[in-house]
Amino acid sequence: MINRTLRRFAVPVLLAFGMLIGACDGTPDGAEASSGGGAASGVPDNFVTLKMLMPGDESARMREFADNELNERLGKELNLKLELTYVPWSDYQSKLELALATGEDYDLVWYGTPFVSDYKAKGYIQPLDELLRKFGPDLTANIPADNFKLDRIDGKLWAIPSQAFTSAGKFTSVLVRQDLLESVGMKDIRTIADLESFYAKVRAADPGYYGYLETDRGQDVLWRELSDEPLTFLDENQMFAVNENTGELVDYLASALYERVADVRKRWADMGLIDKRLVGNLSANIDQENAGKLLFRVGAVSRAMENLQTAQNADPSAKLREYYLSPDKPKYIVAPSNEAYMIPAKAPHPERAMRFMNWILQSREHYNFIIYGVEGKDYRVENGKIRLLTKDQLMYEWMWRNKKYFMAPANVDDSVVQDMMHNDDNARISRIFGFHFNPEPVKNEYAKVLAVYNEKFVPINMGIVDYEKQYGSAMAAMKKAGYGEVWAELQRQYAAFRADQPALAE
Amino acid sequence: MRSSIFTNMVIALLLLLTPIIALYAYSNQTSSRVLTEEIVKAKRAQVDTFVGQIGQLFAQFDSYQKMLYQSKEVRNLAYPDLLGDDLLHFRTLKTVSEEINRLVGYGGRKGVIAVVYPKAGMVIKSDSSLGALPAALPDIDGFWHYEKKANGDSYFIETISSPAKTSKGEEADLTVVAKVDEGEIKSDLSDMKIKGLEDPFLYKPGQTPIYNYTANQALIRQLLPKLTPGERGGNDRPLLIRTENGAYQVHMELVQSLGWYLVDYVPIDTIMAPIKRNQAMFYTISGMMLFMACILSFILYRNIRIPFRKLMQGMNFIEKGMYKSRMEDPPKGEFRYLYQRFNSMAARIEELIEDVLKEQIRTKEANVKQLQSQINPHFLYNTLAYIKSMVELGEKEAAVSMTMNLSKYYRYTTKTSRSLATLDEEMGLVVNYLDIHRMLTDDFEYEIEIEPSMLEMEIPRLSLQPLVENVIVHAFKKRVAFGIVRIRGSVESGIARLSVEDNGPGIPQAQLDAALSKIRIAASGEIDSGLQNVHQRLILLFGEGSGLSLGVSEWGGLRAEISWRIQERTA
Repeated sequence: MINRTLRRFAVPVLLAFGMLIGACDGTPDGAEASSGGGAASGVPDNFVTLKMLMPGDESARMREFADNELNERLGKELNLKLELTYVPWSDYQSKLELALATGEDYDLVWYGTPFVSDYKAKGYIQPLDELLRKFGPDLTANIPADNFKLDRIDGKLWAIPSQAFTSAGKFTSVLVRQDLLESVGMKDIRTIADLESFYAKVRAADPGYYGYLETDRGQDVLWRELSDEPLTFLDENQMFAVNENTGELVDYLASALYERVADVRKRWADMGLIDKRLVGNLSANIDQENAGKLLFRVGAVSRAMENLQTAQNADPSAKLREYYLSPDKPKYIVAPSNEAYMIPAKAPHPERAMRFMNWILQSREHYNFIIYGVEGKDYRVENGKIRLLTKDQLMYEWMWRNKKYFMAPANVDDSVVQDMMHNDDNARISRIFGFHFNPEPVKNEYAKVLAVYNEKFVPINMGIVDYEKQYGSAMAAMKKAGYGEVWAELQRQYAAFRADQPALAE
Repeated sequence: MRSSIFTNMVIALLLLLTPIIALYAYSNQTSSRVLTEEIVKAKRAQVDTFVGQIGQLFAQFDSYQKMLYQSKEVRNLAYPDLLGDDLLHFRTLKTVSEEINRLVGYGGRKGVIAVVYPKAGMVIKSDSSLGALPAALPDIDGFWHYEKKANGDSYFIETISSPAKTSKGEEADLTVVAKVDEGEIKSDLSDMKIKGLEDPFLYKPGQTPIYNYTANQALIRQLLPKLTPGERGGNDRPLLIRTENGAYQVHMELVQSLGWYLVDYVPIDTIMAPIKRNQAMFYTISGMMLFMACILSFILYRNIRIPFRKLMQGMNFIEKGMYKSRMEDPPKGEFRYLYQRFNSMAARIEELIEDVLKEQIRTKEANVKQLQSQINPHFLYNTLAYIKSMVELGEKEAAVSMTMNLSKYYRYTTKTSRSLATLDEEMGLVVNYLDIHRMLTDDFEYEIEIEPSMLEMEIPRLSLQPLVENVIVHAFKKRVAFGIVRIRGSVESGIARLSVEDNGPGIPQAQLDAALSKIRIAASGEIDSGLQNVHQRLILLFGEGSGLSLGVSEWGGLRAEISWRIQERTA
C-alpha cells in the first residue's frame, strides 16, 4: 500500500519539481530573437556602423536627429548605425583626400563630380556597377541614366550622381542678397559694374557689410562679361578651360582673359569689396554669410533656395536671388549632377553604403525624413511646399535633390523657384561633358604645379597682389614645376576624348 | 511512541534540511557579496575610463588652446602693423586659419576653438556656423566653466588672453577660446551608454544635470537630492540610494578639469533579481520537501499507524476478555485483510470460549440434576429400607452389595472435579445404578454390549446415566411385563454410537417428535431436563452431528441413542 501511495504521489511531486526547476531557469521561451531570414526580408543580418564623411558643420538638431530618430530607424530597416563625420567646408577637400589616401575606414563620401576621375585614378574609390545592380534599384529608377554617364569611366561606374535636377551654368552665376539690392534702389544684377555699385551703395549706408569673400572661385562668373568666347573651366583647379564655340582647350593662365579677371579682383580688393583682412581666414566667408553680412557670392543654380534658411536665420527679412552676368549668353551643362557619392576602395561595408543610398530614394517619405527630419516636429507640408520648423540643417537637401521628390520650401519666393525651373532654358551641353583628365602620367609635375599655383597664383586671384608685379615670376615657377608637361598631357588626352565623340552638330 | 513515525520523519527531514539551508544561505550571501563587489569594481573601472575619456577631450582642447596661444603667427595677427604687407597678412591669416582647422579637424570635431582679436574685430574659428562662438566671451580668463543657456545651447568654455584678462572691462589683444557644446557631451554620454554604462549623466551640485539623450530623467531627479559628493571625499564605496522603484548603486567620479561629476547608477535590485529568484526558489523547494515529507508521514500515519493502533487495541480487548470486540471500518488494502482475519480469529476465540463455558455450565447442571436425583428421598428411602430389610432378614450379602453399589454410585456422582470421563467409568456408574434398582424391584434385566475399543473414549461425565434413569423412571413405572434394558455401543465410519433401549410401553410418535425437538431447540435456554443437558454437552464437545436422538426400540419401547464424532485426540 505504501508503494502504491508513494507512486501515486511521486508523479505529481516530480512534475511539480520539474515545473519549479523550469521556472528557475528564468528564460522565457521565445525570447530568442528570430535572427534568421533577415536577408529575405531585406534587413541584413549583421549590425554595422556605416561611417560617412560630410562637409560642413553638424547642426545641433542633426546631431540629435542622427543619434536618435534616424539611427533608430536605420537600425530597424537596414540594421546599421550611421556615423557622420563632419568636416568644415573650408577644410573638406584636404581632409577627404587625406582620409581616402590613408585608407580610413569610411564607407561613403560625397564630393563634386569633377573629382571622381581623379579619385578613381588614384585608386581611392571602388566601382559600383555590381552593388548598384544588386542593391540600388531605386537609385536607377529615380536618377536619369544620363547622369550615371558622368561617373562612368573606363566602362565602369565609380560614383552615384545623387542629385537629379537642373544644373546648367552651375557656379557661373552670382547669388545676391536681393533684399539689400532692393534697399539701395537696384532691381537686378547684369554687369560687374552693377555688383560694384551694389557694394558701394550698401557700404555707404552701413559699413558692416562685406562684399565678396569667395575668392577661391568665381572667375568664370566674371567670364560671362569679360570674355568674348564662351569658356568652361576644365575642373576646379581653374587652370585650363575649353572654348565652347571651337571645342579647343584654352591655357587660361596664359590668356589675356586671366589678366582681365585679375584686374577686376585687384580693383575689388582695393575698393574693399574683397576684404583684405579676411581673405585667408578660411571660415570667414561662410561665417559672414551666416551672419547675414555678405552681399553676394557664387551661385549654384538653386543656391537662392538652399541658403535662404541660413540667411533668414541671421536676418529674417533676407531674400536671395541668383543672376547671370550677360544673361543673354548661353549656359552650359558640364555635369547634369555635380554631386557624386563614392564608396572608398577600403570601405568596410560597401554593400550597406549602397543600401543606405538606395533607402534615401526609396520613397518620398524616406527622402523627406532624412532631409527634413520628423514630420510635425522638424517640418510640415503646406500646399505641397515644405515648411521647416527648425532652423537647423539636417542632411543637405541639394545633395539628394530629385525631380521626382522635390518640394519647394514654403518660405522661398516663387520667382526663385521659377528661376530654377527655367534654368535649363537657353542651355547647351558643354564640350567637356564626359571628359575626365587623368593626371596619372604626369602626377609628379601636376602635384608641383598645383603647389606653385596655390602659392603664387591664388594671391593674384584674390586681388591682394598685383598681376603686373607677380605674374612673371609666378608663371616662371609654374613652368619650372612642369606646367608644360601637364598642358601637353591634357591636350593629348582631350584630343583622344574628342576623337571618340560623335561630331557635334553645329 | 505516539505519532512517532510521523514526528520522527519530520524531525529527520528538518535535521537534513537545516544544514543544507544554512549552507546555502551562507554560500548565497558570499556569492552575492562577491558579485556586488565585482559589480562595484567593474562599474568603477568603467566610470573611471569614461571620466578619463571626458577629461581627455577637454585636456585636448586645453593643449590646442595653449599651442595657439603660444603661436607666433597668432600673436602677430593681433598687431597689424607688424604685417604691413597684404600678402604677409594673407599668408599669416591663412596659416593660423589652417592650423585651427587642422587641430579641430583631427581632434574628432567635438568642439570649437577660435582666436578672437577684439581690437581688430576679427575672429578665426574652426566652425563657421553662426552660433559657434557665444556673443560675449567670459569676462575673465579661466579654465572650463559651464554656461547655461535657456534655449538649450549650453556649453563649456575656457579662454586665455594676451594680455591676461583678470577683471571685467579689460580688453585683450587676443583671446584664444575653446568651447564644447553640451550637445557633444550628451552625444558622448549616449555613446557611453551604448558602450556599457547604465544611464550616465554629468552632475554638479546646484546645476541641472547634463543627461544622455535617452536618460531616465524622472529617476535621476529622484536620485539627485541624495548625491552628496562633498561628504564622500575620496571614499571609493558607491552610494546606495533607495527610491520607490528599487535600490540603486550610484557611482560618481569627478572630472577634474570640469569640476563636474560623471554619475552612473546600477539598478542593483534588477541585477540581483536572478539570485534572489534562485534563493526564493530554493527555499520554496525546501519548504515543499518539508511539506511533502509531512504529507508522506501523514499518509504513513493514517494508512499504517492508525489501523495498526486499532489492531493493537483490539488485541488488548481480546486479552482483557472482551471477546465481543471487533475491528470496525476496515481500511482499504492489506489492512482490510488483517482486520478480517482478526475479526474471524476473535469470533473463533469467542466461540471456543463460549463452548468451554457452556460445557462447564452443563456439567455443573448435570451434577446438580444428578445430585437432585440422588437426594431424591424416595430413592434414598427405598435403598435404605432395602438394606434394613436385608439386614433383618440376615441377607448380609445383599445388604453389603447394595451398600457397595450405593457407595460407588455416590462416590462417582459426587466426584465433580473432571467434566470428562471414559466410557468405562460411565458404564461403571450405570451398572451401579441399574444394580441398585434391580435389587430394589427385581423386575428387569439389563444387557451391555459395547465394543471394547470404545471403553477408553472420553465423553462428558454423567451423560449416560440420565438415559438409563429415564428408562427406570418412565418406562418401568407402569409395569406390564418383565423389563429389559439393553445398552449397546458401536463405532461406524468415524462415529461412535451408544444406545439405551427398553421394552416399556414407548411413547407415541407425535410425543416423541415433540420431545426430540424440545431437546434440540433448547440450545441457549434453560436446561430443564437431563436429556437436554446431555444433548447440548455432546454438541459442545464434539460439534454438530453429535448429540442425542430418540427412536423406537425393537421391543416397541424407547430407544435413546447418543452419538459423537471420533476426534483425533480421542482416537
